[in-house]
Amino acid sequence: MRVGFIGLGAMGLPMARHLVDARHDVTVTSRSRGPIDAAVAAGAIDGGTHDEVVRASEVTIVCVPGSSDVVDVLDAAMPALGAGKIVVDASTIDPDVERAQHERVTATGTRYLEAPLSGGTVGAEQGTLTLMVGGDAGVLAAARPALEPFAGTIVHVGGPGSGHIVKLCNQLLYAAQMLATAEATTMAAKAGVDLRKLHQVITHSTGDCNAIRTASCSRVWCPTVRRRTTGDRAS
Amino acid sequence: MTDLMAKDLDLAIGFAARADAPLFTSGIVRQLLSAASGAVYGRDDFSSLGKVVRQLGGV
Repeated sequence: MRVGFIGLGAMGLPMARHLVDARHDVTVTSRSRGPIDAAVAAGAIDGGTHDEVVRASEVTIVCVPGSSDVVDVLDAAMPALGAGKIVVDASTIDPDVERAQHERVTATGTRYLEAPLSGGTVGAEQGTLTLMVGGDAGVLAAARPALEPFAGTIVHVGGPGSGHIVKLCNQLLYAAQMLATAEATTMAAKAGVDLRKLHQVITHSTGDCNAIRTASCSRVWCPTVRRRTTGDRAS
Repeated sequence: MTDLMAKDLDLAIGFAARADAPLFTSGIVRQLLSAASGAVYGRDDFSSLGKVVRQLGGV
């Protein structure tokens, strides 16, 4: 499949590499030169401008930081949009802005999905990202070959905007876990409890959660303890 | 993790306000991330949040 990738950041570059490894013809662009060169070294094609990337592709994936970035990308891509193409926005932006992009892109004849991600840079490197997809099920079925190379779990959540609601739910859950982890470690540290023992108990108790596991020892828990080699990376 | 968590919490809080969905912890975490950023604890949200809470606890 001819796949375009716009936005080769910490997530986008490894995702684009997985697409190349999956033997898609991958055309890319990004804000800075370095990631484009890295993607080209991995086998992608430098597409130049946003509309050229879309023109060269059947499915174009967008992965940029914020609402205004997505709007700017789609503004630039407009001349190339039309029937026979799919655009997938993997960014995390304002749900209402995303719904508006669904509308204006589908009005051109191009089909559209939102697919915000979870799994962090580790998930992107390992190709195990979770995609929470909003849009039409048929469009997801058509775009799947361009998503599976970097995804471990793909869930069709519902219509436009719904993928973003679920993403924001995940972020609020993880934020609450981060805070509770910080509170628990502070209380334990003040009481002179060995934080490694605390970690050992909590990971086998009802307080267990992703934040506890991904923050283990290298960060909140034991900042003075030498980092372990496995399982220490946050998502 | 970078300061993408602060950005995502702003989105969650903004949307929750429009949806009338109560969010308590997100608001607190967002303010603590601002405090961490002000204290120049670096771009790692998780460890900078931990540093702020530990400092508040006098650890």
